[in-house]
Amino acid sequence: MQTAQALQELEALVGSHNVLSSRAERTVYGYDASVFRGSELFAVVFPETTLQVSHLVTWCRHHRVPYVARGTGTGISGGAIPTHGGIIIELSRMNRVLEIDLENRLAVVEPGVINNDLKNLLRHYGYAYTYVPDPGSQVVSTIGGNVSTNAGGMHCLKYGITSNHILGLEIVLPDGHIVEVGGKTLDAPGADLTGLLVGAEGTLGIVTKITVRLLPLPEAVVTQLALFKTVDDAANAVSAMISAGLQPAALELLDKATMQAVDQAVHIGFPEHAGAALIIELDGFREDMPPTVDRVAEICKMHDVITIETAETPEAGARLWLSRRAAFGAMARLAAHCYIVDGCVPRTQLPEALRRVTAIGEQYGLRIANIAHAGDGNLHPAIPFDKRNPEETARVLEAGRAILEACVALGGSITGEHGVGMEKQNDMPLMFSPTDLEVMRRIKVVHDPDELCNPRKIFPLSMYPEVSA
Amino acid sequence: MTTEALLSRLEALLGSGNLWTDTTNTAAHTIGALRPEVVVQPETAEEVAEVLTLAHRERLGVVPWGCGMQMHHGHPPRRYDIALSLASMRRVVDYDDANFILIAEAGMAVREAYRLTIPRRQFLPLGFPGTRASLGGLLATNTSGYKRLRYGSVRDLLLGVQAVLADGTLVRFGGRVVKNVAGYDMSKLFIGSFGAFGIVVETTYRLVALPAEDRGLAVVFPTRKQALTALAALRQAAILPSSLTLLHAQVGRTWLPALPLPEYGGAVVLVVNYDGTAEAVQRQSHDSRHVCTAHGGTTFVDLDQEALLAFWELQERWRTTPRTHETAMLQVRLGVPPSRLGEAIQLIDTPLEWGLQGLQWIADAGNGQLWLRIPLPPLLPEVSGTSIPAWLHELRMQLHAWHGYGVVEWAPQELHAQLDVWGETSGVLLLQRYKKCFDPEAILNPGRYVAHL
Repeated sequence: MQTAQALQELEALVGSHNVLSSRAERTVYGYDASVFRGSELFAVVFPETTLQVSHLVTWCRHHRVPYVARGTGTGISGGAIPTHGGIIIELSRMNRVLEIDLENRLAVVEPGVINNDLKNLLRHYGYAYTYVPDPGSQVVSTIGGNVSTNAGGMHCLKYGITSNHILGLEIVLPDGHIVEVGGKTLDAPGADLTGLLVGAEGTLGIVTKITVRLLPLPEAVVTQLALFKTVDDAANAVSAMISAGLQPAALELLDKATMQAVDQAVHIGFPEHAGAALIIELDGFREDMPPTVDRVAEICKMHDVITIETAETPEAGARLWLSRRAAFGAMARLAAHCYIVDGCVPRTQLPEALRRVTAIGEQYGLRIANIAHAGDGNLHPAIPFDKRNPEETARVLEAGRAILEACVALGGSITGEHGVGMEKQNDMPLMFSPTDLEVMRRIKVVHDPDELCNPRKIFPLSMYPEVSA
Repeated sequence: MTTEALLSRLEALLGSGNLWTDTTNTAAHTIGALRPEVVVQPETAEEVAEVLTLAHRERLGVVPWGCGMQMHHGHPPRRYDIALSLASMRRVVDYDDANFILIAEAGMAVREAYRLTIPRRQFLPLGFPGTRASLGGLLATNTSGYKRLRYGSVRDLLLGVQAVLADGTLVRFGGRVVKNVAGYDMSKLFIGSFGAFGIVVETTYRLVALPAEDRGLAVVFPTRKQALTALAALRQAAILPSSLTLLHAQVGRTWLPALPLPEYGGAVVLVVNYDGTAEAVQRQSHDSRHVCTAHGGTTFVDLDQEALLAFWELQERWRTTPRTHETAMLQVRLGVPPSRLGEAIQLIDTPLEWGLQGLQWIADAGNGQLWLRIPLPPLLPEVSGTSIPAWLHELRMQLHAWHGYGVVEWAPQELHAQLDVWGETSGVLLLQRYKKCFDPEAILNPGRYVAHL
């Protein structure tokens, strides 16, 4: 089919104002927030309705055109990058909040709604409920994208990951069928298809409607910042808190390298001998706060805490959170680029995992800074580097893989919250046997036998037949 | 394959001590009017895999059994050669208390999990401490715990599974960390799958900290309307109950004899459960009393932990009592958004032309679930054969309009055969495609599942 004719057909499906095809526009959409670059695209289309999405995938199937659904492109594992040309189906114009049902504590949204916009909307109306998942990208990332990666965030320790907050989905299957799974009522007969489809990284269809759970805002929130001499002390304090039955909403750990970068950027004034910072957020009933704050302080003291500061107002809490929120931004001051690794280990293995990260850094001649969702054992080693230096880039990627191998060896996962995408598809055999992967891939083949829907992602490239260019 | 040949093959695989063909054992595994040829009790995942490999090759119908509590759900199997019991697979694989993780075989009784973890002040919030259910059974039937409102459902607690597919392939998905997004979350496919896609042989669950206090409050409301208004107010109040249960007066009278219930009809009982620190529990108890009094609650009884356990025990028995095939009763589980619960009760709590007096219900009000029991005439008159399916159809039409559903959990055999016990459900297209992919010969629970899969 001729390009001009194809563009005309796409325009007929979604309207000419919803199709981009200039060279510059196509180039821009070949990237996301990862280190990868996609293949050349044919067009970018912006459907406005579920029916249009269905028509688009049907058109793609008819013409054997690959497609990738995309939110705002904040993913850092290459999940939204086109690998084999075709079109990008951009969902940012499907951004309506369709329903807020406080009685049943749920909202129905389109996939292009920005995560934080839903929270702001609920706050704006003064509702005592919120949508909890808060990935670091929440100000710009879409709920559809969060569903696609089963995004985590800083409050997973108490409130769970995105999957725990999704009640139902409407999804357009690669054959054009529109299917609803889950919804406003719990436990409908049938398997937990919602649970299966959340985190599929856009490879099993395109999510066009999402029913999310809303939770009551906590009555009281207290934030604490504890400084420790060593990362081990901080991580052991974390395990001790949880063993003691405490359930903090968040437990975020920064190592010395991160603290130094943050200090240069936002001037916190961390003492010289502090080797780790732990941000602790407690929430719940008012009367539970004072004894819990005391218990946390007691446990920190047992682990040689240097100082512990407690904030009981939102403003003071925000100041303590600043070091964490500024952390990834601060890395940008260290080098042109920063490679963020995402691995997860059982919580008690975090000190050992971080020791291994340091050793890997030394082995590869790289300076690695660590940020961790310590309560979840989810570590984010950050490696500053220059992408224009191919030798250094290769070294960084190798070190990243060595870190993931260490995580798996300690009983963990190659990705806690960022997803597999292109970045880790060849690391999947670290976690799964060839049989497990083959069985998992059967799901993909059931949904997308033509391999057009975000093709050749997640599974090792060796599992895909070679395609002729 | 002849029965003799099948038995000798199974004996070669499992040894003669792990299979039975006698009437007592096969009768104990009856479903509908069907008995299996043989009951097998493998001891390892590999043995389960070998049985399924054989069954797949010979196209034999296999029905997996946990502790048998919910085997009356679903249609009778289209073919039933082998009952595969997981009763021997009840070992703890790893209890990593420091990381709040329990890995155990699927046949393990949930009460064993409580016994193991409570001394370390942890628990798996599924079922309740005295439940008769198995870990795998709760997973396969998607049965949540009595504290689901606070601690979530199976999906929120399950981290990984080992399963055997219909062709005998042994697979492992998920892991032992809460944050794990490597590949598709395949473990979820098995939740609520009633064994349609594979037999789960090992489960990994996340545990939670045991609360310091666990209390309940039972309140009598003279009318249903008052109870429902109080319920709505409780859901708006600054309390976080672990469960909100509404009981039909007759059920309340039997279960909570300490609670003086008026003889006249219409009264209902609300049972609220909260757990946490002593201070939080005390405050919630106080606030709940206040809210319930303001909305017409007349009598209050505090329930300590022992009373709560007894209450849950009765509830489980009420929901899952093993029945004979002639038990003249219809039990339906209704699901609606919680705000529609009052209307759903209104809908069912009306005299029926075909049922006997004594309709009862209980509702997990916080989660929009309602179990309804209707006694039937012992000899089902001809008319019931047509009027009950028609009633069910109409009930479902209304429930669908509210995004709800109705599942028949129990009916006498003759009536059962005339009913679509599952009703329509969303996502059936995908379930059909997965079944074809994972069990193309339809040997696992054949015909028992949604859409007769």
